[in-house]
This record gives sequence, C-alpha cells and structure tokens, in this order.
Amino acid sequence: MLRFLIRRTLGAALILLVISAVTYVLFFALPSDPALLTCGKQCTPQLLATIRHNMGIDAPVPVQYWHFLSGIFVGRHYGTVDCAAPCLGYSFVNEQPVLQTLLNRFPATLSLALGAATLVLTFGVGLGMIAALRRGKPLDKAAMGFALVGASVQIYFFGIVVRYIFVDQLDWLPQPGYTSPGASLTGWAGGMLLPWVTLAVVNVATYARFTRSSMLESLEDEYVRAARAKGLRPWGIYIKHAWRGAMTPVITMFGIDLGLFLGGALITETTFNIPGIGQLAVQSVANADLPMMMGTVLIACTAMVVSGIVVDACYALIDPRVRVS
Amino acid sequence: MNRRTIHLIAAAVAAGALVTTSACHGSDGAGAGGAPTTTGPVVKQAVAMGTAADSIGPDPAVAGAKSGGTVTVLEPTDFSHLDPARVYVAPNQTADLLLTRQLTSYQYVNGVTKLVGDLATDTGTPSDGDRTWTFTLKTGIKYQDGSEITAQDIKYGVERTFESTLSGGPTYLQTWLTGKADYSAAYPGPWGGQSLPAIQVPNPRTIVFHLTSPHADFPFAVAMQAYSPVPAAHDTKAAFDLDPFSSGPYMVQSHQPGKSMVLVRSPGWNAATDPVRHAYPNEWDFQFGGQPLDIDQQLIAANGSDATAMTFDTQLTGDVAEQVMSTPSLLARTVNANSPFSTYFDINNKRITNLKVRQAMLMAFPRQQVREDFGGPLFGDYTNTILSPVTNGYQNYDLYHAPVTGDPVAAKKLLEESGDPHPTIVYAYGDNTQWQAAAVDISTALDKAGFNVVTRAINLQDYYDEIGDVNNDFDLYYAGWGPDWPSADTVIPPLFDGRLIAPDSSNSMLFDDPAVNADIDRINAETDLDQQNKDWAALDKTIMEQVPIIPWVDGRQVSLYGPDLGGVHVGFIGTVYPLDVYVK
Repeated sequence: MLRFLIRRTLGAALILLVISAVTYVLFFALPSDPALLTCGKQCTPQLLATIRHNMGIDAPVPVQYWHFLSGIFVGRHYGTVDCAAPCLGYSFVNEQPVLQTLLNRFPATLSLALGAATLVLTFGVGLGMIAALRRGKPLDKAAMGFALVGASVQIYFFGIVVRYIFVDQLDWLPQPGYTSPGASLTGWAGGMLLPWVTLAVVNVATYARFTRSSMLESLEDEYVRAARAKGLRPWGIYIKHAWRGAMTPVITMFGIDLGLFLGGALITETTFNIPGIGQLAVQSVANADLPMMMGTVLIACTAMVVSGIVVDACYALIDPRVRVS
Repeated sequence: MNRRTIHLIAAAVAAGALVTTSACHGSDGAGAGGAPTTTGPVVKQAVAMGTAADSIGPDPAVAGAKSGGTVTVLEPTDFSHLDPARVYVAPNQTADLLLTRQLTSYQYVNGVTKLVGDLATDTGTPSDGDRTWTFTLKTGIKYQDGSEITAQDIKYGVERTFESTLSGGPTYLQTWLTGKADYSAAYPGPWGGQSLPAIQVPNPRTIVFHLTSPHADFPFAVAMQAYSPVPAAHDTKAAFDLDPFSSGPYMVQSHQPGKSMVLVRSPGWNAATDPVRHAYPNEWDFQFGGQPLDIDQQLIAANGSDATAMTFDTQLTGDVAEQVMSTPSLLARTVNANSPFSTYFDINNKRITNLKVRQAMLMAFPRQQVREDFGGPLFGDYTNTILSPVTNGYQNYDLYHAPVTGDPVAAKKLLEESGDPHPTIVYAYGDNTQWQAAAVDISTALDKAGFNVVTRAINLQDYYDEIGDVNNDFDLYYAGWGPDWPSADTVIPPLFDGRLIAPDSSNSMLFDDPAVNADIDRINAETDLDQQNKDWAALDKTIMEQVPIIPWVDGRQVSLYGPDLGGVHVGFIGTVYPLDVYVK
C-alpha cells in the first residue's frame, strides 16, 4: 500500500506539473492585458510598462512560467510586494497572494462539498438500493421517477426557484450563504441547507439510478446466488455480499464527483453566493485575474487527483476482490 | 470615472439589466433623492462653491434620522480598490466616502450640492493667478487611532499617488504639480525617501500647492478621494488597499476580498468637524458576490437583515423592473436619478474625415432603438451635447435636430452632398447580447441611409484595448465618460485635446483640431470659474459642429433599497449615496 501511495503521489505531481504548464500557456498567452485593466483612466505607455514589469508579465511566457514554478519553492517579489513560499502567484485584483485567497475560500467549498456529498451518498445510494430491492414495485417506480426528474433539473433553475419560494416568499430559511461553523453552527447549517439540497437533488438522481443498476447486476452474480443457495438470510446477502460488490463503481463515480465538488461547484456557488473556489473561479475570469484563474484551476486539479488516489485506496477496503498491485 | 466604468455598466446591463417599462416614472423626491423624470426637460444640476461658514461641521441633520443599527450593502463584486491613491471608479469612490476625508468635499442638503471645506476650513485660497493654492486645516480632525490629521499627511497622501505600483487612480495633481504627463519620471514617490518640493507644509495645519499652470478648479480636484491624508507611519503599501488607515467616520473591522467587509465606527472621527458626513449607522456590513437579480429579489423580499439593505451601484434588473415600477410600495424605495456617466458613439475622425459623412452618421443613428436594447428610459436620457447636466456651465442645445429614431432621408441627402453616397463603415462593439442587438439596429438604420455597414464584434475584455489603438480600423464604436468633478475641465480636455492622442487614451475618437486645442489652453488659463464654465459650454458646441461623436444618453442610477432605511438618494458620484443613510 505504501509503495502504491508513493507511486500515485509522484504520478499526481507529474500530472499537476503538466496541467500547470498547459494552463499557464493557455491563460497567459491570451490577448487580454491585466496591466491595462489596472492602469486606470489616465494610463500612459510608461505607466503601463511599469505595471507590466511589476506584475511580471513583461517577460516571455516560458520565463514567466519558470518564475511561477520557482515561486512555489522560494517565493517571489512583485515590485514592492512580497509573496512568500509557497507562492502560487499574486492577485493584483485582490491585492493578496493567490494561496492566501484560496485558503480563505476553501472552507466554504469544503462545507458545500461534504454536506452535499453526504446527502448524495445517503439518499442516492439508499434510494437505489430500495429500488433494486423492490424492483418493478411502486416504490421502485417512484424512486426512479424522482431520479428522472432530479436528473432533468438544472442547478441554476432549481436553486433560484427554491430560494425564491423558501427564502424570499415564505421566509422559512435565511439567505443562503456561508458562515463559519466556528462562528455560528446554526448560521452555517441554515445558510448552507439550500445549496446542499440543490446540489444533492441533481446528483442523488444519478446515484440512485447507478446504484440500482449496479445492485441488480450484483444480485445476479454467482457468489450472491451461491449465498442464497446456502440459505443465508436475504438481508445478510443484500448488505454483506451484494452491496459491497455493487459499491465499487459507485465509489469510483463518487470519487470523481467529490473531486469536482472540492474543486468548486461553480454553478451552485454562483447561484447561492457561496464564497468558495467555484465562485472565485468565476470572479477571476470576469476580472481577468490570471494568477487567480491559475490558482483555481490548480486546486480543482489537485482535488481531482487526490480524490482519485483516495478512491483507489478505498477499493481494497470496500471490495475484498480488489487488490492494489 | 472612466469609460471602463461605463463598460462595467454595460456589462451589468448585459447580465440582464433594465428592460423597457411603460410604467416608468421618476420616483418621489423623498424616496429617490429628488429623482427627476426620464422624459421631462433636462435640468442643470450645478454645484455651488460653499463658504467658510458652510465648511463648519456638523452636517445639517437629515429630517427624521437617528443613529444606530447596521446597514447591509449588497454588491455583485468587491471594490477593486480602497487605497485612496488607487480609487477612481464610482463604486470605489462611494466606499471610500466612509473611510476617508479630503481637503474639500461635497455637501448635500435638501437637494442642493455645494463644495465645502472638509478637512480644510474652506475651499482654499488661490494666489499667483491660480497657480498656488493654500489650505488651512481644522482642529480636532483625527484618524481611527485618535491621532491628529496633519498637513504633512495630506502631502504624503498626494505623494503616494506618484508611486507607480499604486496604479489606477486619477493623475490630475501629479500632472499639475510637475507639469509632466510622465510625472513619475519627475518624482517617483515617497517610498524612496524623496519629498515633493511643489507641496509645502509651513506648519502642521497649513499646506501649499505650487502648480505649474493655473487651475481655477483646483478645489474640486482635491475633493477626489485619491488625495486623502495618509500618515507615513501607517502606510502599509499594497496592503493598504484592503485595509486603509481611516480618516473617515468608519474603519475596516474585517475584509475578506470578494466575500465580505465590515466597517465599524472610527473612534477618532468627530462629527463636529465634518460638514458632509452624518455616519448614522453603527456598522456597515458588505456582502459581495450576489447576482444582480438575486440582490433585487433580496431587496424586494426585505426579509431579516435585508430590510436595512441597499446597494451602491447595482442597477435594477430587467426581470423585476416592471414589478418595481408598478408597485407603489417598491417604487417608494427606489432611487432613480441622473448619474454623471454619458455613453456616446465615437466616430473615428482619423478615418472619417468628411464632415458631411459624420453628419450623416449622426442623422441616421437610431438612438431610440439602441436605448431600447439597453432597457429603454431607465437606462438614461437622450442627449445632444458632449457635457452632461451634472457639469457646471452645461448648456442644452441641439445643433442637428436629428430624431431619436434616425432620419435616413436627411442622412441620404448629406451623403449625396459629401460626394460619397455609399461609404463603407466598420462598426465595432463589445460582444454581448445587448451590443449584438444594438449592432443589428445600427447597421439596419445606417444601411437605410446609404451606408454599407460592416459589423465587427470584439471580445468584451479586449474592447477598450482594441478601440484604444490609434491605428484601429474601425469607424464607429461606443465609449463612455463621466466628469471627475462638475467641471468640463474633466471632460473636454481628456476627450478632445488632440495632443493627448496616444495608445489607450481617452481621445478614442482620435479628434485633433489645433483650434480646439488652443481653446482648451485658453480656457484652462482663465481664473474666473464662471467664465470658464461658460467658455467650456461654448466649446462643447463648437466641437459638436464637427461631429466627432454621436451623443447618445446621459445615464441614470436606478436601484432598490430596504424599507427600514431612510435618507437614501443618489449622490454626486452618481451612485447611491451612503452618507445620509439611516436605519429607521
């Protein structure tokens, strides 16, 4: 297992390096000029040149990328501004090191991701299992009908509608938003409830359908049939044998989705004004804040890569047939 | 207040802002700060010069106002700058009203705006033909930590604006004090230990500015937030932008960029010294990141803390405009007033050199159709002039009497007279849905008059870069401007002085007339402000005889606010003004 983790971590670092290089070239080769955006109304060519120099964007792109990489290990200076290692760049829009802003925004994204993921797993897997157990029965049809509706709605539509009804009109819930759980646990839960539910509803549907089909497949496996033939109790077969086998593909999908959530649920965070990584990414694009765009892409990639490693490691725990080689 | 601000407004509109509403009215004076109608006669909104007596605090009380409570401010984005040296665009200026004080500022009482002494005892004393300006500071003016605001701090605050890393702010004083557009070459700023000799501080309460040319409107220039006092000991350089050391009534308690900011009372601020700020609320709670429609919905529902919420410059969105305008209770808590921002269409004077062709473009231009694309009357009022009603000396005139729907027959006649009845012109625009719709209207109307219009969509991020290219190959493109103070000195020279043409300059219409340039110098040298205002208005007309632009609309600020707030109105910056706001 240790060798596996070391190998995967080194592989992940290589992947992130490649992604960062490609992203850097893509973003920093864009025709937009962030120096011009900050230069102001009475901009002069001399002032523009100074700002470009301070931002470090007057050098060739490969040199800029080298400065970016070396900044991660030794820090950087931008004019009078210091960005201590590990420096992922400096946002001249926020006047903050990129890493500081990312760390500041990450708790909101983490809250959203973990809350929604909990609901997705609980209700998605639960509905799917019930549907599989009651195959062809009204409960199965109801669960799959709900799944179909859930899979069809869009977050930006569903989110706005539930917010309008439950917050603006009925005043049953506070305005969605992020409050640190340390500051107010009820404020945190109240503000995150609608974002959790919205993000979950859309994904619960997928998980319910996926779990159902996986469970049905698993129930037909020979080892399950053998267990039945041996006279084991149905619930024991269902939970102990069929469920564990059915969960492997579900966990794979969950790993990818959790990685996506942790990288920033752009639409959900934007719809509910959750100040997380996703909203930051949208703001960075709108502000042509290239260093911050770069930072949000890197954190999203890191989340995906790390969740991939964790999921791979979990396979062995979930399904004894799987052996990490 | 620049064309990029207009761009932001246009972007907001693109995100789904104002739509046409037949039920559009100016709102009532109490609720809207004397909001005018959108269709009535154009009203001049002059700013008077206050006396030393007007400059004594406190600011006359707002009827019915009381102290206390928390005001929530909902904005789609954080303020791009709070460091006064970098503050220029309207939302930032509005926020800095709460955090900074200046030598002079604008006092708003019962619908009348005056320039008065703020930190200074009056609006300054000129000498040497308006080349030297002397200000005396009041006593008892203090920072957030209770230390005294001194003349040296004001000098240091101005000197900071020379630092090249503190970009984005206005450059009036820097240019006037050094006589050079490239002012940083003459003086790099105070961080290297150098002092600017053009500003003298003979004692802690006296500051003297020595300008290289006469500027009768200098008292207006020092009202800009950029020229606020900064004590050298508290200059945190780049970090100052997130947490400026306050000379105003409030100070930053917390600021998480892009998320939130909380302002609380500054213990050092003394209302008795301040003739322009009330500071009724105890706290300002800023929430950033909401979509404009969500902000409107929150303000309409007004649940919980939203009952005392407002926005500085989020325009009413089209989705709710009709609901708001047709619901008396909502209309009563809507501001609807002129903003200083004008939007117009540049004609590339370097490419379209035939006056008759430019006249034909103006005559054929479908101003009404394009305004409908942006929401109709709530977007702004039609204009035929360069200067807007918020500029002192403004004179309303209409040289060409072009109907707002365009007159293709008259335009065709002008084209025939020009000798080129079917000129090809390139219309460039920022690529969003509103400007796309406008491009169709404009090309249709101009084609009808005989033009062959080629439309060219430009990525919004690159738009001003592209039209700022002095060798651009476009003939017609939109731009915008707002005066930095109510004087044409901040409109006509930056826009129409041909000697300032350079990459990304404000003279994006590339207009260069030696006679106009000479007139600009002559008027700038005048020491009588009234005469100067009259001459700027005359020059406005003279320039428009050459049709360098197609005037379009003077913008409006239309925004909702919570029912438990009072004293909400549009201020001199053109945004919703926080200094008279109170919690009921």
